[in-house]
Amino acid sequence: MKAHSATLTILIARTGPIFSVLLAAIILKEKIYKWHRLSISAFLCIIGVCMMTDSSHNFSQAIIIEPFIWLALMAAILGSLHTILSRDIQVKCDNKIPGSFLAGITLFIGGISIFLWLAMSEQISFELPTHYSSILLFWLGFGTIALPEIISLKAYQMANSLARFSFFDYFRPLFSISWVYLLSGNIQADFYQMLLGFSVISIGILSLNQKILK
Amino acid sequence: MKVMTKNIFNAYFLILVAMLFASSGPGIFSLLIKEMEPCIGVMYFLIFGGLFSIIISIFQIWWNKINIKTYL
Repeated sequence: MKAHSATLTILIARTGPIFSVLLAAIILKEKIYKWHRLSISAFLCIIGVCMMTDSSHNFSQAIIIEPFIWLALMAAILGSLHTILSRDIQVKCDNKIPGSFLAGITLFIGGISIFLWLAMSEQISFELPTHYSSILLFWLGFGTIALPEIISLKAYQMANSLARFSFFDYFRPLFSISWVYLLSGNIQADFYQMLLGFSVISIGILSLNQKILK
Repeated sequence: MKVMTKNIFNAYFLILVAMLFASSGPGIFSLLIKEMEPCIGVMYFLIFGGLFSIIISIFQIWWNKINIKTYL
């Protein structure tokens, strides 16, 4: 049950792009047409992720038993809100003040919150990283958090839309698996399952085109 | 119209690059930093990433000579 709940938690955390589209329509007032096609697109993307992460289990029981699922849902909503508000700053300041400023502040607060949570809970012993690890973490923070954030915001500014790119987030699991394969040389998922998942996600993303977003 | 299409195409490319960078974190972390709990690793990711974003933004504001007071 625990393993199943973990998979479900990951899947729920992957609903973030859907919240991004909804919040873009509500907060950023992005005009979205043909919601039914958008729903089909979201459905296809989630099915694609399911195919990659292999989740054939009892959803209802997992929801009752595992409280972390609600945390995953909250993470998905807050994650998309973080992107939306960063974009909102960009729009309101005529793209002059970088949205990454707010993004940076929220990320930093997120990190500090985890630090406080760890400091208060006695479940995990908190220890400082070694010299090698701290240098690596420093560059990982830049390369995998700050840089993608800045590049994404630049892309939203160029296309003047956020909702259009939200579903690209579904490519992340595939990219993550590919990175692990490149670094370690062994693939941690079934190749054909991944290929099928990738194809379904691609169809879902391609159907989210200009006919839906104007 | 052509400029808009070109911009959107470039934006798609940028988003894919961003996704590629963003997705590399967990893999590199799990393979290279084995002595640390993932939860603590995420904390450092967020703190360092956040700090970098703030520093780069302040640099951008300074470089473009933007008067921040007009937007507050």
